[in-house]
Amino acid sequence: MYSEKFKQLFMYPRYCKDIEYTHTAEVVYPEHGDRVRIFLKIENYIVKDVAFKAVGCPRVIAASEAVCRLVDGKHINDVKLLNEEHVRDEMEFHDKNFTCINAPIEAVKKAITKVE
Amino acid sequence: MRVYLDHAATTRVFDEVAQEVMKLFTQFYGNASSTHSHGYEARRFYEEARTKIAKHLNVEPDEIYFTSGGTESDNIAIRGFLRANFPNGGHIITTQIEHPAVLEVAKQLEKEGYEVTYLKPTEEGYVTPDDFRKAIRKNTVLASIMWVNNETGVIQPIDEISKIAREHGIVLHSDAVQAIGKIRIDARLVDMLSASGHKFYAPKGCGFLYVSRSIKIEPIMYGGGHERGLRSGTENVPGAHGMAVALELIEKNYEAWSEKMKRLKEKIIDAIDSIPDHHINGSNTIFSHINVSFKGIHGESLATALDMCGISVSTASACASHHGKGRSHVLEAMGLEDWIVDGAIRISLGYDNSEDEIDYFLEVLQREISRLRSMS
Repeated sequence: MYSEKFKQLFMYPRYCKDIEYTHTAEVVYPEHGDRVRIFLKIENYIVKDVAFKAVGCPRVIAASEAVCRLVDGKHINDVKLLNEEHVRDEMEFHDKNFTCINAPIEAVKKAITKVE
Repeated sequence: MRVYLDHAATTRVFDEVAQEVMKLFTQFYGNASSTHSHGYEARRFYEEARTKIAKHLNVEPDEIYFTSGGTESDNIAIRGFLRANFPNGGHIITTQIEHPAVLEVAKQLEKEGYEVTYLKPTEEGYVTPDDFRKAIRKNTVLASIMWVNNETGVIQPIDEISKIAREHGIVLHSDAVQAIGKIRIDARLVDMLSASGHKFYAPKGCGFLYVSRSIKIEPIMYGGGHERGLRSGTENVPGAHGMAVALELIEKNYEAWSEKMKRLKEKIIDAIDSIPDHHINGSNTIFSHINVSFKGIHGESLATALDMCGISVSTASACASHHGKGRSHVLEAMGLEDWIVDGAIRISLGYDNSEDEIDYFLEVLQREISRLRSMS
């Protein structure tokens, strides 16, 4: 069911770590039992570091790692453009029945709304 | 190492059963309804299987009807009984924790004008005889109560429910798909009973229905009139023979095998007990089942992590799947907290699991729980 890339994201995430963050946000999908918190260290509108914590299904965990990989080092204007397709491509997971992968995307976008 | 711990979903066909079934595919392949020697040979295997299965259940051979499995048996039992006796409606009692093969039939019957009471289980996962008694109405005509729950493995109090049903003249059906081959049961406690071959080391696509001689029942599909008119369709002789051989093997080895299963289960429970913040779901469970939740971990994530390490267990909770199912209706009915419902995995042992397999499973389980918890 899952690709080798998905397996790497889920089993060996690099971004599930503690960082000194400047911005954070949490998104919960209670009906699925999913909870994702994204931590961002932003300097001069650039994501200098990023991390996540997640409780949820395998897709939520893999999507959280994928989102972190996609936004690390990016300008926040680029982060604003992040969408489901980018994350699905990064995960090599294209089953659209699963909408839970939006949780980390929503979390990262919610976190950057506070960037001045 | 690959370890299969999902025997409640299906089992590996016993080697002896596979060999016997192969013999019927290649040597005794006649149509059991044909009136020539190839047909007679096949019929002999078929009727011998019926006799052996009847003996296993403590019933008569003419009370056993072969079907394609549990779902078909449940449908014939419930719909066939109502069609024959109460075509214009009535009250039915079932439980909130039935398999969809019963629940979906009950929902459909409601649309057709029948009244249905769905008994709520306790937090421990069983329905109480007292609740059953209270649910009885003047127009109650049928009850369908599973023998063992497929998700939790909780044994339902069929003996007590049977007494109450008999007192009130209510016909009792039981989906015994998870009980057959694991616990010794007396089918005479109920009036109709469903079973599925692939749950007890026989092939997929075969099952049987016990219907007491005293019960009037009609078919729900029509054709050549096989199985004394109740279940038309060419006889699945290899399937019937496979089920009989599997049950014979289980009977022969039951003492030793059940002891081994109890020992392996105890080993798993001991290891789980050393992990903080867990909840074992259900009590009075059969020796094959453990349903457990670990706080801070989604059941599907744990099952997937185990799968990626070669271990197959199952989870009832998923955001979506090809069946479109969400959370476990069984654990929700038990009124358990959200983290327990979302975090549950089902470990189901089989007679062929080894001590080494369980050691590997426990090593991976503990490691993956730590890893996933560190992410939360």
